[in-house]
Parts: sequence; structure tokens; C-alpha cells
Amino acid sequence: MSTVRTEQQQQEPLDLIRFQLDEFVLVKLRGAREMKGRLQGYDSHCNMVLSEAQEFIYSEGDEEPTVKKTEMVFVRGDSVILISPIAE
Amino acid sequence: MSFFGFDPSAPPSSRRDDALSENIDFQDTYDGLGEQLDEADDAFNSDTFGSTGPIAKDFNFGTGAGPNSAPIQPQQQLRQAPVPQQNVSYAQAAASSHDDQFMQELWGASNAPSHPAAAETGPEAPKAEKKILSLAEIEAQLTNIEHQQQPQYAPPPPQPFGFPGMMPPPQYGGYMMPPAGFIPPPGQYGQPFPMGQLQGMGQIPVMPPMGISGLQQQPQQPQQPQQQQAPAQQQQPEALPIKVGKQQPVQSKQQPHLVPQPSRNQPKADLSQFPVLGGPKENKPSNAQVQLQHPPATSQQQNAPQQQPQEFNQFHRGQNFNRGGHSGHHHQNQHQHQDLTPEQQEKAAKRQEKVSRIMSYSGIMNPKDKDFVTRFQLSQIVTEDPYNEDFYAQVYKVIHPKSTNSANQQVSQQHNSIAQAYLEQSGHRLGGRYKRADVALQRMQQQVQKAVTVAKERPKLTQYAREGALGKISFGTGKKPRQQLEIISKAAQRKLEKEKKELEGATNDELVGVPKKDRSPSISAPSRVTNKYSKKDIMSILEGIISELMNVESESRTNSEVDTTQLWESLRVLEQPSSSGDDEAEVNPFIQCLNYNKALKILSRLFKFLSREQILTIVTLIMSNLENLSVVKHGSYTTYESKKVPETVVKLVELYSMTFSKVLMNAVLDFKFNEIIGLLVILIEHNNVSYVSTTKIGLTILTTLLSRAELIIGEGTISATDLSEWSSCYDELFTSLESRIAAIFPPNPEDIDDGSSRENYVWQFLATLSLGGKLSHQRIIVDEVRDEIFGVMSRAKAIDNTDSANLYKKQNLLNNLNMYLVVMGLVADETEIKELQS
Repeated sequence: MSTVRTEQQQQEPLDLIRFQLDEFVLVKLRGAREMKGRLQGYDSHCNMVLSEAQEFIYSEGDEEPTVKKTEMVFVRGDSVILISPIAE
Repeated sequence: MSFFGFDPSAPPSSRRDDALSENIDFQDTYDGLGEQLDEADDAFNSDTFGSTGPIAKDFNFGTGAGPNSAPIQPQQQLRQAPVPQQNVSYAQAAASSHDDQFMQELWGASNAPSHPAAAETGPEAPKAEKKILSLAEIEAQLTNIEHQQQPQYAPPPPQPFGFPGMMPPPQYGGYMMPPAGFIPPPGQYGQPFPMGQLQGMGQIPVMPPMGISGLQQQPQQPQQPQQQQAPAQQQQPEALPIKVGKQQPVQSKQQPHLVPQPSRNQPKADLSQFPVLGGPKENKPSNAQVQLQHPPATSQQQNAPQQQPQEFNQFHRGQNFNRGGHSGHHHQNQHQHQDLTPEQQEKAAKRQEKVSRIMSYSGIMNPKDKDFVTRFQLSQIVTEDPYNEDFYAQVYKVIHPKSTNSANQQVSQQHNSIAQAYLEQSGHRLGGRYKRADVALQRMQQQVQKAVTVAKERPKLTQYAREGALGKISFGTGKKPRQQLEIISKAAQRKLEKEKKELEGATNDELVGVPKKDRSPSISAPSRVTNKYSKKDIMSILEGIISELMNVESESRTNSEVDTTQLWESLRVLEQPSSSGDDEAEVNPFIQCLNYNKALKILSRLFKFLSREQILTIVTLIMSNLENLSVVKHGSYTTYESKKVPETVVKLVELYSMTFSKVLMNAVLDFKFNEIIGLLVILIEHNNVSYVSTTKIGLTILTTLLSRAELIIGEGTISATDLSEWSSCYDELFTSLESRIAAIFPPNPEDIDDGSSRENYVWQFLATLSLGGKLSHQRIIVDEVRDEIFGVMSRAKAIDNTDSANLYKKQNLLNNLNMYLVVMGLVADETEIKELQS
């Protein structure tokens, strides 16, 4: 008999993303952009599908970022810098 | 030119300069250090490391398995030796003495095991040996043996199969080391095995078994080596009586070794006297037993050729054997060596080799060693508190009473059953299944008693710091089996330590009499350790549930029977009790999961795989944790200054209505009346009902339970006691609602029902509540909600009849209101309330 006691099974870095499935996340992207949206899916490249998404585009000089709303969007992983859960 | 400027044509000396092209002469690279070694002090190396003589890897730890002995009779050794030794050891242990007679008893009685061990003296043995004896040689040897043995052997028992398992009578069991020159089987056991030798006699014609069932059962298969072996064993001590004349043809190498004749004789004589074998009285039973036991052994026996048993029997009879019921086995195998095909011989040789390999380690443990091991194993099984620690075994015993041997075992049933179970499970040779087990049982009972003592003295687990640590003893019990491996993640360990501290802290508080204020009653017990769950934990648990669910679903597609235990465990429903008002992080994880959309989305899929009991458990948990659900906790307008529930919560509430409420409704259909009452009672006890009733979900849940209960009552099959329970439950519920019923209506009724919906959970609840109550209840309700009733009517009136787009709203409003009023026999339109005309 053996037991493995961990907080939750084996944890992998991507689990942090997995736990956020169906939750709102903030995704920081290259090119001074951010996206907020409900995480619908992801893969090992951090390609992601977000629903109810908002894209924030920051540009020099502008105080307020440009905001684009999208019902459903695919975010390609190579531009992802970070992913963070946010309170809804 | 070549690459790197290497010039192959240049003379070697010139090349040296060029590193890349240097032609390395390994002779030159040797620095000669080895030659400079000072070996002056190495003179004692041989002392230190042993002589440099040839070192073989085949160091033999086996006792009797010297190079000489091993080859000799592998076959016999293999089979006979191990078995007898074990038996001996146990027997000895049981007797706590080395009483030869006792041993013999044992052997006589419980020889059954030895069958397998039957010597393979026949042609096989010779083959196994490096030197292969010719048949003639073998015969000659056998003949010698027989001659020697004959006088010694007592008359064979009339029943050839009487003791199928005749073990070689090992008097000193495993302890005995074969004398130097000793030849394996017989020598080791102190008693020669005539039978093994007898086997050789394949030439005796097969006689029909005389009244001996055993014989008949066993077909002769003279040619098979195995067969030969089996008979040998059986015949051994007692069977030997067979006359030499016929037997002579058989040759066994062992004969010379069998020398100790007196011992043989003794066993026979003693046997009759020994209780085990059954003195005269017991003889019959013992025989019977033996015969019974035979069947299991048949496979082996069958192998053994039994051509001659009859003859032997006749012989025996003629000789007037005194044994009476007592009989050794007389399977006499006669092998016709000539019949062995080369393949069989090869087989036999292989077998012998294998046997000798095994045999080489036989006898390493003496009976005391074995007893120790047995006891140690038993000590893991026995318990002082069988009904607690061994509950199911006890129940099993009651359900499946052991019929066998029960009469004999009344001394201490408890120990008996353990001993017996142990024997059966381990297939112990002494008393294995189907074999004469009473002796072994006695033996084992003693062991069990000792084990119980050991178990009592066994230090408690807590005394030992760390299981598996060097020098620490690790124990297991039936309750807490020893873990072979325990891996605790750093985080988990930290958590554990923290819990420990908290535990200590709590206990201290208790001692000082300072109860923790912020602890809810449900967790105020000082001994309880509560987990705190971070959001990440909950998310992780939730993902775990989802993936388990998907596993189960995919399995269910291919397999109608699905194991859902893992799924159930992943729910963590029982992981931590909690009730409404507990600190958010300490709430049962499953309840916390219910705050997330994804949990709700899978609810109906999840419940499909849960049993009724599991669902009831979950619902019970939810009832006691209603206020921990965020839809309830944050779902009441009363907690907001604006008297409006925030959008996010409203969304969640909507999701609840579409998922949770439906699942609950289905689940409640399966519940029994008293279960529903129980759920209501729990809900009332653990929650502030009037608060819960101000939330949509809370009110819906109440409605669901109430209406189900009333439906069941309507069926009219409820007993009077249940009914009285129900009415007291209802009273309690009503009391906690009374005077606050109007509060279930949000300040802005339009928020919940602008008429666009065909349902209104508030009116539904009031209808249900009224339905279950008596007239007095109904009056109170009407009094309290009178304003709301008229409010709806006026709202309905406000919708102009010409506004065809919104006309349906008017109708909906009135319909919803009337759903409640109808219960009391009333009906309303936009202007007045009338008695329902039926």
C-alpha cells in the first residue's frame, strides 16, 4: 500500500491554466495588448480560446487603451506573455 | 596535404609537433606508474581479502545441497524435502518439543501434503544426476534398498490411500542436516522413504484396488515421471511393507541412506497410540478423513502409477497388518523405467534440476524461525477488538458459518477461526485445505494465542517516530496497514504541521477555557482539524471532478458497469464537514465548487453516475450548507443597500435555476418521506430560514422539498407517526418564517416577475406552503402577503387591455398569483378576489 499525498495530485505549470477553464482570465500579449475573457480552451502552446473577450490595446500617448470586444476569439500562443486569473 | 595540415608523408618524429596529427603510440602514453607502485605493504592483502583462489559465484547456502548431495536425488529432495520440513517445523512448534512421536503422529495424520513430494525415485532420479544410471543399476540399488527396508517396514495399512499425504517422517524437520554422505530425501527426514524407492517397481502388475476407493480413482500412468514420484511419497513409511520380491525391480538410489530403521518402526507403533492419528478409536475417522482429503491430491496421485497397489494391499492383508484403520498410503508406483521416453527423461531431468535448485535452500530456517514468521504474520491479523477492527470478517463468519471442524474448535473460537483462515489462505502444508487440519489447527491456535499476546504488547504506533526510519520498527494493524511508501509533498507537509499546531492551539484554548469565538458550532470540537481551501485548491478539485467525470463517461460508453468510486472520491463530499456560517475557506470543498459555473454545468451529468445514497449525502450536505452557497450568501436583496442583487450573482442564480434546481428536483423524487423530513430539519437547524427564503435559490429548494413531501402525503400511504413528524417539522418551518413571509418578495417585484415569465417562484412557494399548512397557517400567510396580492392585481390592471404586445404579461401575472390563491379556493382577476367556483 502506498499513498501519495499532495495538495492536488501532480501539479504541472499548465494546471494553473487548466484550473481557470470557464473562468475569466487576463492575458497579456506582445505588442502592448491585453485580453480579458472567459477561458474556453487552451493547449500546450498557450493557444487559447476566449469568450466574452475584451482586447485592450495600449499605445504611446494615449491615456486610455483602445478596447475591442469580441464574442469569441482565438489567441495564438506565441504572443502570450502571461495569463492570470481575474476576479469577474 | 590533408585536412588540418596533417602531412602523412612526413616522418613520425616531425608529426609529433603537430597536435592534431600526432600519432599516438599507446606504449608511450603509459606513464609507468603501475610499475612504481610500492607493494611492500600489500603482503597482507590475501589476509584481508581472502585468498586468491578461484572464486565461484555459486556459493551454496543450502544445507544439504552440497555439490554432492544436490545431484544425487534432486527429484526426491525437491518434493519431499521441502514439504516435510515445513510440516515438521510446525508440528514441532506446536508441540514445543522435538518429540519424535509427536512428529510421527503428525506425519501419520497429516501426511497428505507429502503427496506432491512423492519421491521421484524412478528413472527420473537417475537422470537428474550427472551420472545417469542405467536401468539395471537403478534396479540394483532399489533392490538393495528394499531389502534393507523391508524388515523395518511395518505392515502396510490396508488402505492404500489411507494417508495420501504421507509425509516423509521428518523427525527433526528442517533442522536435520543430512549427514555428510547422506542422500537427500530420506536422510534428511530421518526416516527413510521406502515408498520413493518403491516407485521404481513398475513391473508389478496392476491389481484392481481392493475396496479401496483411492486406488480406483487413480489411473495408472506408469510412464510419467511425476506419477512415480507421487506414489513414492504416499507409500513411504507405512507403505513399505510391500514385499521385496515384487519391489525388487525398482531401484532407488536412496536406499543406502534410508538406514535408520528403528525410527521407522517407531512411528508406526506410536502412531496408533497418538491421538492425532487416532488411536484405535480415531483410526476410522482418520481414515475417512484421509480419503476425503485424497481428492485434492488426486492430481498428483493420478500421476502416480498405481499398478501395484492392489498387490500391495493383498500383501498387506495377508500379513495381517496390525494398524487397523491406520494406514499409510500405499500407492505404489511402479514405473517401468523402460517405458520412459527420452522426452520424459529430459523432462524429469529438468524437473530435478529445478527441484535441486529449490532444495538447496531448504532447511535454512528452523522451525522456530518459521514459527516466528508465522507469528509475526499472525500478529498483523489478530486484534484485541475484533468487532471494531475486524467487523466485516465477523459478519462474514456469522453469515458463512464454518461447518468443518467446528466441533473440535470450541476452545477459543476466535483464535480458531483466525488460525484456520490462516491455514487455508496460506495453503499451509500441514493443514492446508482438504487435508487433515486439526493438528495444524492446534498448532496454529497456539501461534495465534502467542500472536495475540504479541499484539497486545506491541507498542502503539505513536511511539515510533517515522515509519521505515532506520532502527525504527514499523507496525501495521488491521486498522492501519503498514504503508510501504508515503510521499508527502512539501506543501502537504507544511499543511500537516500547521494543522498540528492549530490542533494544539485549539486544545490549549480548550484547556484555558477560551473557546474560539469565530468557530462555528459545527467545528468547535477541539479535536477537529479543519482544512482551508484556497481558490486554487477548489479549482483544482473541480477540474479533478470534471476529468474523473469524463473518464467515467467514456468508460460508460464501452462498459455498462462503471466503477464510480474514484469519481465519488474526487467530489470530496466527505472530506470536511461544514455548515452554514463557517469561514468561507473552510467550507466543504464540494460546496465551494458549487459556486462556479462549470460545476453547475456538470451537475446533471454527474448525478447520473451517483447512487441514491450518494445523492442523498450530497443533498444533505447542501442543506446544511445552504448559506455557504454564494447564490444564497450573496443572493439576498437584503444584504445590499440598493436592495438589488448584483448582476454577476443574478447570472449565477439563473444558472442555478437551470441546473441545480432541476437536478435537485429529480433527486428529491427518489427520496423517501422521512428523508425529506430529515432534509428539511437539517435545513432549518443549520440555516436562518427567513434569510434563505429571501433568496431565489433558497426558496426554490424549500418549495421543492415541501411539494415533494405533500405529494407523498397525497398518495395516502404515510404512517401516522410519519405524519406527526411531518406536521411538527412543518410547524417548525412555519415558525421560523412567520412574520417574515412578506420579505420573500423583493422590494422591486418587477425584478423577479414582470409578467413575462409563466412561473413565479415566490407564488409557487406560497402555494406549496399553504398547501401543507392548516387553515390557521393559510390565514397567517394571506395576512402577511395581502399587500403583495393586491400589488400584483394592480400591476395587472396597469397593463392596458389594448396593449396587445404586453397582454400576455397581464395574464401571466394573474395566473401566477392564482396558483397560490387556488390553494385556498380563491381566484383573482385584476379587480377582485372571488371564491373559486368549481
